[in-house]
Amino acid sequence: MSDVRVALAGVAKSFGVVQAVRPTDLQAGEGELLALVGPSGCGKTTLLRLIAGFEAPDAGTIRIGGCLVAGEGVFMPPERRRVGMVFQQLALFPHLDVAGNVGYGLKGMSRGERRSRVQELLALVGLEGYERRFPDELSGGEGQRVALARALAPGPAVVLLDEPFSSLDLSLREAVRREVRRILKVAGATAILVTHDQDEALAMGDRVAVMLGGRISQVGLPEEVYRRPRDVTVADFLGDANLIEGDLTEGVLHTELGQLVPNGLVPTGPRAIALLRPEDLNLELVADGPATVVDVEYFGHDQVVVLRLPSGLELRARLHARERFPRGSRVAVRCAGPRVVAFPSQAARE
Amino acid sequence: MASRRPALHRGPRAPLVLRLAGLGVAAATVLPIAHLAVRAGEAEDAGSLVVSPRVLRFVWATVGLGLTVTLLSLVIGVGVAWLLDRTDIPGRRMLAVGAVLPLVVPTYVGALALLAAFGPGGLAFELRGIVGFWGATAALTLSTFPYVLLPVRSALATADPALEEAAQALGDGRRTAFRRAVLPQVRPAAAAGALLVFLYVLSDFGAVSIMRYDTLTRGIFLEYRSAFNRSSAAVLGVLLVVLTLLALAGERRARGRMVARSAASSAGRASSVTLGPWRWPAFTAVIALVSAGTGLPVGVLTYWALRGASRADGDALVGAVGTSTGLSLGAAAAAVMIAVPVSVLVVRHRSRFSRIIETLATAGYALPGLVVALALVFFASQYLSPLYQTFMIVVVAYVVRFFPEALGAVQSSLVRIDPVLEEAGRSLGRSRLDLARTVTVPLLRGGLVAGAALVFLTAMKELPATLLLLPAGSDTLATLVWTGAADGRYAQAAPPALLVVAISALVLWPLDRVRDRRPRQ
Ligand SMILES: Nc1ncnc2c1ncn2[C@@H]1O[C@H](COP(=O)(O)OP(=O)(O)OP(=O)(O)O)[C@@H](O)[C@H]1O
Ligand SMILES: [Mg+2]
Repeated sequence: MSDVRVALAGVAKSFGVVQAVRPTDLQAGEGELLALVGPSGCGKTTLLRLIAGFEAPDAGTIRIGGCLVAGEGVFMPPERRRVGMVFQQLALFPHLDVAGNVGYGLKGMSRGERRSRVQELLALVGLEGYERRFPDELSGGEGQRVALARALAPGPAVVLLDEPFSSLDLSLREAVRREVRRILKVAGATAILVTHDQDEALAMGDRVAVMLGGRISQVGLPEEVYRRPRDVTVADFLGDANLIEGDLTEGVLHTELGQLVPNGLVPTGPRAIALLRPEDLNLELVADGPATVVDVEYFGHDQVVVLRLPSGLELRARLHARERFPRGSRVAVRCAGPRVVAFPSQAARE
Repeated sequence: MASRRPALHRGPRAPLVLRLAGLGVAAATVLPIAHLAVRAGEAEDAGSLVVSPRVLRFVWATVGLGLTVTLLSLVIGVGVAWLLDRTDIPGRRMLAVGAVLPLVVPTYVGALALLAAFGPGGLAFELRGIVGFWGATAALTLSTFPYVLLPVRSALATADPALEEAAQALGDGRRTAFRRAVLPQVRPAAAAGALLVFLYVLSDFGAVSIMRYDTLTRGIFLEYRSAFNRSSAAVLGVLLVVLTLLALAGERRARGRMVARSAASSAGRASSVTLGPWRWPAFTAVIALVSAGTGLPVGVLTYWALRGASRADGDALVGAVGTSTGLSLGAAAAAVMIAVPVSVLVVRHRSRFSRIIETLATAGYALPGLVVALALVFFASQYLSPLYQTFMIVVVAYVVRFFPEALGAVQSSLVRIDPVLEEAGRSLGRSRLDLARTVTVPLLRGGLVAGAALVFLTAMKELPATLLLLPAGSDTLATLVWTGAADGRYAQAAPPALLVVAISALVLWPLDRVRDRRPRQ
């Protein structure tokens, strides 16, 4: 990670008895797009509002661009933090046109400078010629881009995006997502993007921070958090997870699927749990195979086959759609993943 | 969820300016009234005064008039609402507009018109007994029935026709179906309207004093004017406040028992009753009502104004127009300016403190204007003597009385502004004050205009506080009407009365359009 742009250390915030954010450390590097993902109510919005200055932390410190903005008796109001916000409901000023919205945060500039900066941003987001439109004359995707241009205009130290795509319908979402990522990268902005959609987080983030129950459980590259989750809950949250328990002897896990060799950190203890992503499983139609096909979810480009093992455990396997696995047929299961992660057994019993 | 959070958010305490604005408004209402109560308590004969036959007569007259007018307004209001919304009466649209026009005619103008037509020395013939109870009843009923008509009409519009049809399907006749299925649905609206009418009569000063009918307000005024007995005016004032609070408390209890309307909104148009041979008689009756409420005052007063035109005191009239407009404009501007911070406090910083402020700041509306004025007279003469006998104190009285109109209008546009807009602005580097100027106030414009117009309108018509507080030697349109009417000089009272009505109508017309236009959201 290059220079640290935003740094949270031990930041906590409660509302009455609700601990919205438990003591949390988090850093975002310069020019980085950090995706903050977690289930509803886990404290993502609160964390963003703490950074933006709409809430004051109960404990800990927040630094933006090396400058202490909250904590240790300091509280810098939002208007002085140089934080750009993009809100879920866009929050464009309804009485100002697009140019007025984008130029709203440009202070201490001459008229000409302001106009050319607005032009520059509209060009960046691909909305030249929209200056005189009013927010109610924009489509959802256009409004989204105006909101982003407005946040970027004053050259903020960091841009915070709180579920910016959740009000867009599904067909539009993916295109806008790509576009937003492109714009942020071209602008070289440091950004923290909040979402509760794991696919969105994995696809967009340079790094992904997983937040669960008011705490950041894991931060890392997308493939890192997906392939090597720190615990069962993170594994479960980030996509489908097949968890299978077995006996651990001399670094080998003996499970119903046979012997698995966990790599990386191997838990101690007599029993452990292995994580197998659905795409790590290979199936073969075998007349006396140990597993039964219970259900098939067909997606066109691929399919998910749901199996039941003799013990009753259900697994999900993601496969090419070419091969057909009729319901009720028997299959042999092989583990084809690059590596297997294992967790201590009691963690799974929580 | 996420979009609602900031609205509910109890942030750091409200900025000091907001809290001070709220406290100021609350204090301006509470302190004078509290002072009045203290004064009343100090009157050595307060106890015996309250039970004296004279005062009991005042109370009896007030309650009797209130009940009579309320009953008549209910009958007329519900009846006309039904005719307009559930029958095939001709000219429905025109009648609907005409039926609420009496709202722009202040009661003292209506009373003056009745006297100028049917009183001693009136234009038409003399109706015996017009002066007193019946005159007051007629004047007040004609100007208050729209308070029942309006809510009942909107209740009828949203009443679920399915219920009515269900009742008919179950074998009720049309008439029975109306009584059993429709009336219960409009009852809450009718009851709310009736309470407004009753409170209106309790606080009315103009019509009863022109009709020389001795209710509490007239009693208070007479006591006050007979300069040596001011504390008995205070006692009567407190008595009137108590009556008002009792009426409000009664309404609260009644409202608690009301049944919630069926949630299903009107699935279809309600069927309409065919009046048959009664169509035109019904039409004529409503036209007659509209004429009596609006046409008669305008016609009669125009006649008197023309008749007295040669002897009219033009200077006095011009002066009064200036005074009325100036005072009302001042009150409108002040009320709206104070309403902005107070509504931000009430809407954006909800807390026990802001709720108390809201209640206190709106109390002046429920209290009779004469009592508020009396309280201000006492308070100002004791603690604010530099203000006493100035135009300033009149403006203060208007603001105290009509602040809720401004607050309501501003507040209802403020709640439609998503607080996230303010956060967006702040994260773009603008200070709170900057933001108020460039975002909040521009978005509030509709509410500001509506609030200012409402305050202007009511202040223009205000009589009792103006009479008590206006510096000696000056006049507003309202006081000109009142003195002319009190002396029976109709020709002199008519022009200012017409002007009040004309200005009210002129302001009301654009107001209607502002309200209809929604800001871009
Ligand atoms: N102003 C507030 N007052 C009281 N409780 C609050 C407040 N703001 C947030 N909370 C609580 O804090 C917790 C975290 O809320 P937060 O809005 O940060 O969650 P989130 O992760 O953004 O959820 P979502 O994905 O649904 O937006 C929730 O339990 C919420 O009820
Ligand atoms: Mg949220």
